[in-house]
Amino acid sequence: MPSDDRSSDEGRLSTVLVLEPDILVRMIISDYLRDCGFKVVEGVTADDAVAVLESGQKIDIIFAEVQLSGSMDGFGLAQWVREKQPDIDMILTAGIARAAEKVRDLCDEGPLEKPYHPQEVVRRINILLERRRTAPKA
Amino acid sequence: MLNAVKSRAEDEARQPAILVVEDEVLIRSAVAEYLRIAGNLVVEAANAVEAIAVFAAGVPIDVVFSDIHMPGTTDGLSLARWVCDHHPGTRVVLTSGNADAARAAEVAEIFFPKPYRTAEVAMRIRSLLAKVRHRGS
Repeated sequence: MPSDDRSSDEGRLSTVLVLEPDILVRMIISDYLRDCGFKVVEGVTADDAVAVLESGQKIDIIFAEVQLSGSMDGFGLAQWVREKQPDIDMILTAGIARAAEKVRDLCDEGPLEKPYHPQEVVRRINILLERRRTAPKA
Repeated sequence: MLNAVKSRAEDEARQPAILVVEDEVLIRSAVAEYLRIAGNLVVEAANAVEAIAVFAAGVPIDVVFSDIHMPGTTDGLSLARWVCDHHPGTRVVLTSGNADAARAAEVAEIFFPKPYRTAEVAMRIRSLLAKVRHRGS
């Protein structure tokens, strides 16, 4: 298991919102992230993400599949998050190659292609958290 | 990776595995988190189809805690009947915002009307599992 600090600036565990329509994929990556010390909230649709964010729950990173059902797909959600909660970082993942360019516009780190290795997800999350920790305060 | 989840559930045989089936994300994540902190291995499913997929993948589940009213063709009562038929060793606990207690009693060991207290759910599930283990020993 990686041994980096999993706490946020405020000392609480960093929270990752995992949005994945496939229950088995979602279960595995969520379980892995919890084992790595993150708090994980699991969702299936972009509407789930909106419900969680509008409830006031603090989310640090959203890790989302591009192909989500509901009122928005992963791209739409990334745009919504950028407008409404720009302090939240997003990592998008997709099993389709053509998603790559569009994802690149919405995520600094580019897309994470499926099948991904859970360790790669943790690496990406840590890059984003570290970037936020070291960013000059506005 | 799926094998890792399965074997972990098997290795931690004394850590009860609870499948929470609830379509409302805020309710599901709150009760799932509480049950995890209480020492259970928790799998979250958003509907009955997902719940059946978890069983089909071979993940050992001790207790299914399911809402009755969920979107899709299979509601919590049908899921409970499926679990009783296919996984008779798994205990079923149901919840609902409507007055479904009588129907739930036919297939579930415990019924919680909504809104429920998560602490009470955790306590009653722990008691249920203790009773099952006591009977089995």
